[in-house]
Amino acid sequence: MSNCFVLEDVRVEYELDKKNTFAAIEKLNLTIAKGERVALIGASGCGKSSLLKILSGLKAPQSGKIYYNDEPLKGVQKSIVLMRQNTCLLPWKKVEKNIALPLILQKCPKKEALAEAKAMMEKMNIAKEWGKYPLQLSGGQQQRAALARALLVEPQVLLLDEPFSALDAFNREAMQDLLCDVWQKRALTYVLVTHSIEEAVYLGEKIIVMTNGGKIYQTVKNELNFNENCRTGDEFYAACRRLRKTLEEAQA
Amino acid sequence: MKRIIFNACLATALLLLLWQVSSICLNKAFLPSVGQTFEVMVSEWQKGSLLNQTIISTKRILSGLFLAIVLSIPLGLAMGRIKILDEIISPLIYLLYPLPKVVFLPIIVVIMGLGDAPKIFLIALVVFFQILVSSRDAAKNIPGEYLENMRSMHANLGQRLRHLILPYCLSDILTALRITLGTSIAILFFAETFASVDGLGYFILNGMESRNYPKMYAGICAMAILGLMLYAVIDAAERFFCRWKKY
Repeated sequence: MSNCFVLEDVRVEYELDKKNTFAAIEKLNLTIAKGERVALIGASGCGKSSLLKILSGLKAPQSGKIYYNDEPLKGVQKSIVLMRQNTCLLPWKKVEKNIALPLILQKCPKKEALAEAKAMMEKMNIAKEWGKYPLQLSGGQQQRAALARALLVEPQVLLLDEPFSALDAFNREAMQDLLCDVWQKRALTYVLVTHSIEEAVYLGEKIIVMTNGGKIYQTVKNELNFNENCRTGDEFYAACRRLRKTLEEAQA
Repeated sequence: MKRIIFNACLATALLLLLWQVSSICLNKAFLPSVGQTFEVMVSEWQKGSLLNQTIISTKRILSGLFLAIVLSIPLGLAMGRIKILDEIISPLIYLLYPLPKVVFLPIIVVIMGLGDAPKIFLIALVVFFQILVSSRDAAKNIPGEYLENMRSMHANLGQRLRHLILPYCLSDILTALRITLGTSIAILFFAETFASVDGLGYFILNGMESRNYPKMYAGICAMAILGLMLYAVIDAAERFFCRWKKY
């Protein structure tokens, strides 16, 4: 399997004031293969979101190297899409226009972009919400719309920053299943930041446990294959317990 | 909509009732009755005098507002998004913003003459600062996540402006415009009473100086109606462009 991302000695800093900086990530080395399902888990402030930001090209690291498809990553890429907990749907645009926006920005004819958005809305089971504003949708529907917008440009990499954390249990599970479905059909690579042990076990084939300073405490290879019944199986609960123990050790 | 119209009619009726009662109680020439005033208003309208002055004043205020909007919104948005520009221009704004601009009217008249130009310029000058500060602050407050999201979608500057910055700031800009409208009408009145021979301000002053109080009030009513219509236009613009806000 060829590499999607390779990170070498990456350091990410934030300016606290004119004299002081804070290192969110220090000397991180990581390899993510193409088509891999990666879950990042760790305490708040350990550098998970910073890692997604540098993978998305929105922030350049202070030092170190990042390779994307074996070439140095230079800025934002059309094939990499970042999706956050805050869906960033523009409240003044109707749902279909929000979903079609990436295509419209790429100078695709409006009619064509809206037709694509409509097809995507049908796939995401939100076709009935056509003509509504984002604030008229439920949290789950907004997340579906955000995922539809992310997938419309057919990305190779999907970076997900706690995208489902604000949803209720059933909506969260539905969105997780939707993501699995998308991954199976499109064979894309995704990197998911989550605080939920169950979500990490369900969605990640490689679970990276991070500690402060963006250090990797342990990379857990998850053998569990997701399917409809996986969440209630003994294997799933055992994997969750093992991950919980690793997390506790990491935070101790 | 029906409710808004009903409420506006009710408020007008209450105001007219208060005016009529005050006029009867005071029984002075400087506060004529509603009937007397409307009689003069209709006759001046039919003669074309009031209509002409209203048209002149409307042109001036619209020109002043247009000039202020065209200049202040792009500059305000640019200041809100470009830190260095904000750091350079803001001190100048804070120095000039609190100054009462009307004190410059005599100088403006000397430079621009007695025509429409000084009046339009003065209105634009007053409105400019208010909208500039509001649009700058609104642009500054755009959440970073939205901006990053536009960046990750490879939006160029024009697209960011059209799809994010302007729609995000529009509501604040319209609010600033609504607030400054009252001031701009007061400035219009002041400018038209200074070295002027036309406009509603002149019409009102003329009525006052000739002790024709119903004529003076007719001018005041026309100015109030002009203000009301401008408010209605801004409200309609907000209802149309910011219709998502009701959800």
